[in-house]
Amino acid sequence: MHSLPGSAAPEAPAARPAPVSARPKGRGRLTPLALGLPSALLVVVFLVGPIIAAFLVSFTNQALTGVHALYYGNVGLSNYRSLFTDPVFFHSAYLSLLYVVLTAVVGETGLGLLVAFLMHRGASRFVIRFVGSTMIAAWVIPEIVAAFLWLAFGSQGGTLDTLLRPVGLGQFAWFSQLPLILVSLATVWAGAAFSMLIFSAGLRGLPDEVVEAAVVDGAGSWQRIRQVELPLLRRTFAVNLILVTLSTLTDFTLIYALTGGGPGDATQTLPQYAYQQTFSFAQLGFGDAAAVVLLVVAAVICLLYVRLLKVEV
Amino acid sequence: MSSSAIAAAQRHPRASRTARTVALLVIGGLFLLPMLWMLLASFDSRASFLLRWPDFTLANYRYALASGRTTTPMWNSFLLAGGTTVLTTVLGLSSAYALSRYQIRFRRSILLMVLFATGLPVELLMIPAYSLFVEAKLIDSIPATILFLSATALPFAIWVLKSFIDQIPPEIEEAAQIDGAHALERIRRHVLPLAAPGVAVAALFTFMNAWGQFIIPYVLIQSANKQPASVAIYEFLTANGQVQYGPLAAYALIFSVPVLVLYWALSRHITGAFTFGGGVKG
Repeated sequence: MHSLPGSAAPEAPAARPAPVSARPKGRGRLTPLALGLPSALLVVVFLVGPIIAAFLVSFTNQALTGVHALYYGNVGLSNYRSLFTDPVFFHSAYLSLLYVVLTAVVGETGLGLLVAFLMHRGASRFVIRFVGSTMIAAWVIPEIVAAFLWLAFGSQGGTLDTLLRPVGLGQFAWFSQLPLILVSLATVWAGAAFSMLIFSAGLRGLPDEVVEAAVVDGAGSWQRIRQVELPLLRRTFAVNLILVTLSTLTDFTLIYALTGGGPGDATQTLPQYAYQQTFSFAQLGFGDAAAVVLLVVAAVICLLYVRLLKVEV
Repeated sequence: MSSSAIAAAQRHPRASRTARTVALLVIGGLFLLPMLWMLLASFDSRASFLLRWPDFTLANYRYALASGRTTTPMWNSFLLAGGTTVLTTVLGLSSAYALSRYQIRFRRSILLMVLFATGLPVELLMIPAYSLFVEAKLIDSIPATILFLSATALPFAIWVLKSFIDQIPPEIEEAAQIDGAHALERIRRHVLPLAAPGVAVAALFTFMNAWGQFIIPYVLIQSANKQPASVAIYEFLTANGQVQYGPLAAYALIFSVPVLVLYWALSRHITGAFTFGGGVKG
C-alpha cells in the first residue's frame, strides 16, 4: 500500500523497524522523534526550565547577597502579597501601559501604517528605497547602539532640540523634563520598521480585483483606505498590534541604557522594576515574583496571538 | 492629512504624488539623522553630541580598535551569536522537517506551542534565566548562554523553516527515499537547497538578535573577558563619568556593521517573512 502524505498508515513494529527504503513517507515513528528530540530537550531545559525555576524561587525569600543568599526558605505567597501592595509596582504598571500606548500603538503602528500606505500608493523607487533602508537600518542596529545614538540625539541642545527650535524647544532638557517621551521616541525610531514591513507585506497581499473594483466604483482615496483596505488588513493589524505590544511591554535594553529607569522612577516600566528589585535590591525571590506576573501578562497576549493565527496551523 | 487636502490631492494626482514623496523624504531623513551623527562623530577629532561636519581624524578608530578593547568583546559576540545561529538553524531545520513531513501525534498541539513560544520575548526571561543559572551553577558560561539563547530563538526558527519546507513538494524527496537515504541525508541533499531562503531568514534573525543581545549576557556572564561587545559598549558608555563620543561612535559603528551587511545581503529573501495573517501566506 502506498500511503498518501499525512495519512494514518500502520506503524512499523518498533522493535524491528522496517528498512528505510521500504518505509513510505509519513510512517516512521522513530525518525521524527529523533529529528525533534534535540530541540525539545533544549527548549525544556533552557526555556521551560527558567520559567519553572522563577516560579519556584518566587515562593522563597532567596537573596543574592547576605544570609538569605545561602539560607532561604519557603515564604508562601508573601512575595506576591508585597508586590500587590507596593505602590511603586502600580506606578511601574501605569508607566508600562503609557509606554506601550505611546510606542507600540501610536508610534510604531501609526507610523508603520502611514509609511506602508505612502509607499504602496507609489513614489519614485529611490524615495521608497531611501525610506525603507533608513527605517530598517534603525531597526537592525543593535539596541545598545540605538540607546547611545539617542543619548546624543536627545541631549540638551542636541539634534532633536535643533529640529524642534521652530516650535520653541531649542534647549529642552528631555532627560529630566520628559524622559518617558524621549525613551518612547527612541523606541519608535528603533522599532517602527517592523510594523512598516508587516503592513507593506499585508498591502501587497491584498487581492487586486477588490481594490480595483473600489477604484472603478469611484471610491476616493480616503474611502478606499477606510472601507476597503483597512478592513481587509484587519488580521494583519491585529497581529502587528499583538507583536509590537509584546515587544515593547517587555523591552528592557533601550530604557536601561538611556535612563536606567530614572530620573527617580520616571521611566521605571515593569521590566526595569523587576530588574531593580532583583539586582539592585538583591531580592531574587521578590524579583522572580515580579517576573512571573509579567510572564503571565505576556502569556495571555501570546494566547490571543495563537487564537488569531490558529487557522493556519 | 485633512479630508479636504486628500480630496484636493485626488483631483491632482501629480500633486498627491509630490506630497507623498515629500512626506516620505522627511520621515526617511528623520530616521537617518541619528545614524548620520554616528558616522560623522566617528571621524571627528572634537566629537560631541552635536551633529556637525567633522574635523577629520582616524584617531577614534585607532582608540576603539586598540588592544583588547574591541577584539576580545567582538570575538565573544561572534562566539555567542555564531554558536546560537548554527545550533538554532541545525536543530530548527531538523524539527521543522519532522513537523512538516511526518505524521506525528499531537502535531497540532506542538505547532500551537511553538507559535505561542515565538511570542515570548527573550528579555522577559532574564530574571528566570538568572535564577536557573544560579541554581545550576552555570553563571559565566558562554556555552550555557549559547544554549539559552538558542532555546529562545528556536520557536521562531522552527516556525519560519516549517513554512518554507511546507512549500517544497514532497515528491522531490521520494526518489531519494527509495534509494534508502537517511532522513538527515535527505534534508541535506534535497530540502536544504530548496529551503535556502528560509534557512537564510531564520539564521539572519537568530544572528541579529543574538549579536545585539545585551541584557542576557550582561546578567548571565560576569567575567569582563567573556563579555560581548554589546556589554562592552554599555560599560564604555557609563564608565569615567563623561561620554567619549568620538571613540564610542567608532566602536558602535564597527559593532553595527556586521548585522547591517548581513541584513542587506539577505534582504531579498526576507519580505516573505512578514506576511502574517493577510493575503498570501509566507
